[in-house]
This record gives sequence, structure tokens and C-alpha cells, in this order.
Amino acid sequence: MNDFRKPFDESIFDGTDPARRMLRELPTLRFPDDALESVFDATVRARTVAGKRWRSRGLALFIVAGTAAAAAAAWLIAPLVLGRPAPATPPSDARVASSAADAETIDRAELGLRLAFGVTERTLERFPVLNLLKTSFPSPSERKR
Amino acid sequence: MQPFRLPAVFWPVDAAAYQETVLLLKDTVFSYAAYLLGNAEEARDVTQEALVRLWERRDHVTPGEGARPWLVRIVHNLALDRLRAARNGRGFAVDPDGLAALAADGDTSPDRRAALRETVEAISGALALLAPRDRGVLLMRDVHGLRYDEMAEVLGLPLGTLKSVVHRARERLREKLLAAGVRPA
Repeated sequence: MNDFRKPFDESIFDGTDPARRMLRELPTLRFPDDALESVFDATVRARTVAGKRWRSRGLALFIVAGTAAAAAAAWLIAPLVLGRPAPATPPSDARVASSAADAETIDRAELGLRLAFGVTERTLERFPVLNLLKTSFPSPSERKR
Repeated sequence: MQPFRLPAVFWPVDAAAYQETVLLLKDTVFSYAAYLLGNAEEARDVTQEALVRLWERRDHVTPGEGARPWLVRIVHNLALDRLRAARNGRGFAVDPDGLAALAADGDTSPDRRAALRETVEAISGALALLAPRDRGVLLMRDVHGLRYDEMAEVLGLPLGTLKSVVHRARERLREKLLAAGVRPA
């Protein structure tokens, strides 16, 4: 049996539990700043650096892909804007005859399509937006005019 | 000295919440580990490991005050692992000077320092004589103010058993204090 639990205990500690009272007086200890920095280095900073690395990679990829796409588009569009260079020597008679035959075939096909889909002059008047067809793809008769 | 803060510019939301949680609870967690282990250096390692685990599990832990029981549980388990690894079962040499030097108190007067050192020395010396589980329950309940239900979750004990453990631990500490001739101020 412990003697100190009874009146002895009460008299010394004024009725309070000495263990609890002293534990409450225990000071909070301060986590060292350098240890805290190590924690942030291993967690948030590592993540932030990794994030920046991925952002840099993404930016580099965007620049390379964008440049490649722009170059490809320019290569495709340039002949339309600038026109094709004139041949150094005039085409032969056979080449001219072949091209004329091709053009005639295309004209016939185009005329057939216009007739098949009912795009007549009256249709074009009623739906001005279809004039794009007229201006872009004039009929053989209009072209001859 | 101001606590260390990382610049919050361009930070993801979870990183900012993590930082706030760490700054809020770091001293609590460190104190728990230090008094449980009796050694500031070991406590520093354990606390760092626990805070890194908090980062890894940040999606599953409520930030801010809600992370306190979770962190205490992690620190408790890490500290007990270290104590078990120590050969004598008591862990490490109790270092009251090292602990008192880290007391987070704005008053740095010599008298106050001496009083702090005396308190830390008395309590840490008495705590070191208790079993690790008794130390843990006293620190959780009487120093850090955890609720019984939170402690029961941390320790994996039924509530009734836990209250009994706390009561017995207080009695043992009281015995040790009285045996050492300690008188509260």
C-alpha cells in the first residue's frame, strides 16, 4: 500500500493531481527550423521543382510542335499564294494537248455535277451564298465568256 | 525568429494546405516524440519522417487541426519502433538539457530558462521510468489534450481499457515524482 496516496498527497499538492499538474507545465518544444526545411525540401519543394520541370518540358514540346506545324502549313500554302514557278522551257505540243483534254474532262464532269444537284442560275439567284460556287467554279460556258 | 515559410506564389492548393498544417502541428508532434523518446535528436528524425508521411497521405488526411490525431498516431508508432529497436527497451539516453533548449517559450531570461530546465528534467526523468505506452497515454491526454476517443483510435484500445490505462499511468508517474522528491511549484 502506498502511503503517499492519502492525506500526505493532499497536503503537499493542495488536492490536485501532481502528475497531471506537472504534465500541464511541460513546455512545448520547438521543432528546429533546419529540420523543417528538410521536410519541405523532401515534400513541397520537390513537388514544385518537379512541376516546374514538367512545365518546362511542356513548353519546349509546344514550341517544337508549333514550329513544325507552322512550317508544314507554310510549305502547303506558299504555292497557292505565290503561284507555281513558270517552267524554264515551254511545254511540248503533246503536253498542251494532254492538258486541254484533261481540262475538257473536268469541265464535263463539273457540268454534270451542277446538273445532277440542280444548281442552276435561278438557284444561285435565290441563294446568294451559293454564288461562291459560281465564282469559284464557273460553268464551262461562263468560263469561255 | 519567424517560422520558416515557403513563398506561396504559384503553389498548388494541396501544397499550401500541407504547409499550413505542418506549421500548425510541427511543435506538438515534435514535443510528443521528444518526451516519449527522451531525446531531441531521435525526436527530430521521427518528426521529419511523420511529416513526410503526411505529405504522401495528404489526400486522405484532413488538413489543419484535423490532422493532429493522425500525426500523433504516426509519431507514436514510429517512436515505439525506435524504442523496440533500442536494446535496453528504454530507448535512448534522456537528454533534459537538449529538450529544455528547444522549449518554445518567448521568455529567454536565465531564471525562466532554469525553471524550464528543472521542469523538463523532472518530468522527462520520471517519464523515462515508465513503460512507453504509459508515457504515450500521459502525453496524449495531459500534455496534448487529445480526447479519449482519439486516443482509443491511436492506440487501438477500447475506451474503458484506455481510461484504466491512463489512470494507472498517472498513479505510476505520481509515484515516480514523489520518489524523486519532486514538488510542483
